[in-house]
Amino acid sequence: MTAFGFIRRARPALGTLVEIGARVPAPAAREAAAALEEAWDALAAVERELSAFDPESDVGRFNAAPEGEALAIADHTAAVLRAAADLARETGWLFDVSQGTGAGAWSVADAGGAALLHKRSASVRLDLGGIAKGYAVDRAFEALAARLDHVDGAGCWVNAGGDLRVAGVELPVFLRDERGGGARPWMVLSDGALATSDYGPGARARLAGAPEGRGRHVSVAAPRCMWSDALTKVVAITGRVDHPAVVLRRAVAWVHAEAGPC
Amino acid sequence: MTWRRIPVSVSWALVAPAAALPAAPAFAVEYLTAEQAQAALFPEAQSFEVREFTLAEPARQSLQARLGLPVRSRWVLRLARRGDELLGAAVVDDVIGKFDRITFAAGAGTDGALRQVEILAYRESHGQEVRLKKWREQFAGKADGSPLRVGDDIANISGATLSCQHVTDGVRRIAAVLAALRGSGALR
Repeated sequence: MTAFGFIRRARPALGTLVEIGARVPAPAAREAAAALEEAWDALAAVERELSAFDPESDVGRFNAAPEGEALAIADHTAAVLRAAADLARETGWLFDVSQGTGAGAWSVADAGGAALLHKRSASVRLDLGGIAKGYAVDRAFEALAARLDHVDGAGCWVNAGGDLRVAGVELPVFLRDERGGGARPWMVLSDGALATSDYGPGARARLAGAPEGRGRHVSVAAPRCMWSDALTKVVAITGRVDHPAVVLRRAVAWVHAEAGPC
Repeated sequence: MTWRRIPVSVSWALVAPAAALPAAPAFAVEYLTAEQAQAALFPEAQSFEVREFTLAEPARQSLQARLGLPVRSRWVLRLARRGDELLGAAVVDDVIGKFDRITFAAGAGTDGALRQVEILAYRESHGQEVRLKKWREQFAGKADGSPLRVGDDIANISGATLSCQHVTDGVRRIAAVLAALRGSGALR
C-alpha cells in the first residue's frame, strides 16, 4: 500500500496568514513542493491586480482616476467585479464593493474581448476586500489542483486566514473562538470552500450597511471560495441564511451564537 | 461540495449556557524547522553560521524611534554562505497577537533585498495564556525535519480573517536590524 504524507507551508499574503497544503503519495513529495510554489505564484498574481492599497493595481488606478474614465482591466479584476455586480443586484445593492461611495457609479463592459471598467463619479472608490480574498484562494487552489491532477489519491487545500478551499482530502476544520481565543472542532470539509466572517461587537472588521442586531458571526460553505467569502457578507448584512443569493449558488450558511460556534 | 459537521460542538451550544462552555482547545501547526526555513530563504547557500549580534544602544534606540516598534539589543542571525562568500542573513523571530503566536523567518541578501518570508509555526491559544511564558515555551523546537510529514495532522482553522500586521511589523524590524548591522560592518 502506498504511504501518503502531507506538505504544508504558510506565508503572510493577502493581509493575512495563508496556508497551502497537499496530501500526496510519498513518491510525489518533490512534485507537490513544486506545485505549492506555483500556487503561491498564482496567489501573488491575483493580489497584485486586486489590492486597493497598490496604486499600480487595477483597483488602485480606478480609485485614482477622474470621473468618466474607462480603464482596461485584467481578467482577474473583471471576473471579481462581475461577480460583485451580480451580488449587488441580487441584494438590492447591500453587497457594495464601493462601500457607500457610489454603488451604481461603476460598471464593467466588454470591449472587443477586453474588459473596460467605467467610472461614473469622481468620489466612487472600490475595495474588493469582501470578495477578492476568496477569489485569490480559488486561483491558487486551481493552480495546485491542476498540477496534482494526475497524482492518484492527491488532495490539496488553500486557506487564507480562514477562507479555505479543499478537494481530495478530508480536512478537519476548527472554528476560531473570536471572543476568548482557541478553536473548536467544527466541520470536516472534503470538497468545496468555507469562509467565516465576524462583525460582532469587538470584532476587528466593520461592515458598511449592516443593521444592528443582524447576523454577525457567519460561516458559509460553497462550491467556490469567492462565493463563500462574499456570501458571508450577504448573510451578515441581511441576517438571512436562506437569502436567494445563497440558495442560487448552492451554498449553506450558519450564523453563530454570540457565545461561540453553534 | 462535500462537508459534514462535527456534532459535538452542536451539542455544546445547544445544552450549555455560555458560561459553562469548556475552554476551547489550543490549535497549533508547525510548518518548518529553523533549518528548513533558512534553506528556503537561501536555497543557493552551502552553509549557515548561527551567530549572535548585539546592537549598540544608540543604534537600538534610533531604530526604535524610526520604526515605532520595540527593538531588542540581542539578535541571533543565520549567516548564509556559498563557499567563503556571504550571501545574506536570516532571522527567526516570534510575534504575538491577541490570541496567537507566530514564528517566522525573514532575511535579506548582502544587497539588502528581502527574501521570501516563511512561517515556521502558528499557535492559537485560548484566553490570555498567549502572554504566559510557559505557554510560549512549550512549542520550542517541536517541528520535525522531514519534507513530507506522514500522518493525518492536516487540521485547518476558519474564523474572522486573522490580521497579519504583527508579522509585517516583525519583518520590517528584522529588515532594519539587518541593514543596521550591515551598515556597521559587523556582517562578514
